[in-house]
Amino acid sequence: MTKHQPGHGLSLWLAACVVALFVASLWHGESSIAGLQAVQDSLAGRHTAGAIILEQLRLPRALLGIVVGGVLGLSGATLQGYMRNPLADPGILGVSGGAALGAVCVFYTGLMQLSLAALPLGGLIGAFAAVALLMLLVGDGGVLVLLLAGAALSGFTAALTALTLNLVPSPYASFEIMHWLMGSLTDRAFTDVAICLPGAVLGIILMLTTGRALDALTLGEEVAASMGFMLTGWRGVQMRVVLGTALAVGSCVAVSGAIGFVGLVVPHLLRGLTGYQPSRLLWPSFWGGAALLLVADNIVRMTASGPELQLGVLTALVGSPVFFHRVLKLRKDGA
Amino acid sequence: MTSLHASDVSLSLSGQHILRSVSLSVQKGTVLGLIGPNGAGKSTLLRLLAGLKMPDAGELRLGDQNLFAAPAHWRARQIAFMPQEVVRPPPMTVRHVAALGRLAHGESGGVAYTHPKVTEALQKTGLSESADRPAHRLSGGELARLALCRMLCVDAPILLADEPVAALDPAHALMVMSLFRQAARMDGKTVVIVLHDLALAARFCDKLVLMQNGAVRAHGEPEQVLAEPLVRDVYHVSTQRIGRVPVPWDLCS
Repeated sequence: MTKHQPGHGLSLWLAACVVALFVASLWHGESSIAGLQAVQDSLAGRHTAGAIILEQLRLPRALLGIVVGGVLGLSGATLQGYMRNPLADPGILGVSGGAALGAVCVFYTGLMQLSLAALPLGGLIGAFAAVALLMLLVGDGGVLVLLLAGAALSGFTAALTALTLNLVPSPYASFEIMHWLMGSLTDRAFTDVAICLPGAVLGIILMLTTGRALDALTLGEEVAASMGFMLTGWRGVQMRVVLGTALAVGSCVAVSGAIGFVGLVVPHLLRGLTGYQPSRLLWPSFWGGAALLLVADNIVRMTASGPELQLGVLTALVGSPVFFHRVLKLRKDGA
Repeated sequence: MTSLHASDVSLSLSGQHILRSVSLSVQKGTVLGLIGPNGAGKSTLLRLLAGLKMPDAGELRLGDQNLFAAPAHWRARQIAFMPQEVVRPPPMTVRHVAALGRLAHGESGGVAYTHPKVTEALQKTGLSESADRPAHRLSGGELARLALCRMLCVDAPILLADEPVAALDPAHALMVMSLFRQAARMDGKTVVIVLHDLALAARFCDKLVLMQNGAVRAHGEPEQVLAEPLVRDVYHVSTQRIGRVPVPWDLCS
């Protein structure tokens, strides 16, 4: 008998990497601070420059890196498992598009001037509106209905976002919108963490409850249903997958902007290490996504002396070659 | 307890009658073959028996228990189902795919992987040697055996299979049918199989139900159900007997 396929070991290893990267994110930044001294000041409640930079800038940024990266990785693994399609990506549901539209509307209407929280809140409202519309569209429908509803919603929100860009009166605002759409964790504060966290945590919990059903679905929908898994309906697996990914991704995109490829690439890279069993891929994808985004954010910060590279651009630059490699491998395998 | 009954079951889809007042009983330790031309309602009836679809009218019972009044997780442990199209599994090992059958009992991971029923099912289906091979590289015959193996891992008293030998060569078809019969004879399983091959139906099934246009046309021993006039009328083919087995021979003019 062969050894049981790894999953927990990989998760632990990746979680350790995330902890190391998290610490590196706190230590490393544009301003040079004495790390240990800043931690001591912070714990003692002393408002030194180092403690303020650590508490107000680096800590929320690193925490968001873990949450956003983790959510994107986990959502990708969940959707790919549910749709039995390795090309499924969190953006496929159109909820990211809803979040982007909500944030763009905040830019357009000038609500951003009222509060720093207006932008992520606008994104969150856009994401939740998209979730509600998606739920109404999908109802009791299956995977195909979900795919079509997601495509329709993506197209619609992209069109409205383009329309807003088209109508925006100031070129500066247009530039700001484009910049935001590329995704970033720069200058995020604890307000952003607070806005993102409830939806993200609820979504993560919902996604993590789907593991066994995703395993059963590898045998086909009828076999999964015959093994006692309710697939559609309000209490079904599809509802937990859609609501979980939509809530979590929507909440994250609302504060970080659109960050592509993490949800697509991370499950791809880890699938072989988890024995191709969808349930074993969930936690490793969460930690893998968090690690990838923390690495990418650290690279962004290292290059911050020139024009700042946006996080979404970097993840796309890293993610695309992985897919080129995949294409070449598929050709070689004769698929 | 492990006998399966359908009483006056009817179903319509989009205004079309798919099943009309179908009644049948399958006893423990026997193999029932559902036969009939394409579109007769065999696969739909099997899905109803599996609890995957509710009838518009009539009752389905497992022993004394109404199938749809019972919770889904209870049904999942009583009935193992093999669909018409077996999905090619992802690149997991054969043992991992077989162990997925234990999900019906809420078991996964190491508990399922090392479960004695999984080892036993791999042995019974002759897949012990292939347990560590990637399942997606199996041949059609091996995949059919793996699907049966996964059913046996559920350890359910009822096995339902929709055309399990449709894509198999004669050797593999005989092997898979023998395994179903063995499950009924040796382990006391109640087996219902949808079949198109009348020769296999005659050879391996204890009882046959011949369906036509959503209704039961005949029900009984293979010799009675596969009588020449009945087969000619339902399938529009003539048959020739080779030994005890009737074989479709020619189209009726």
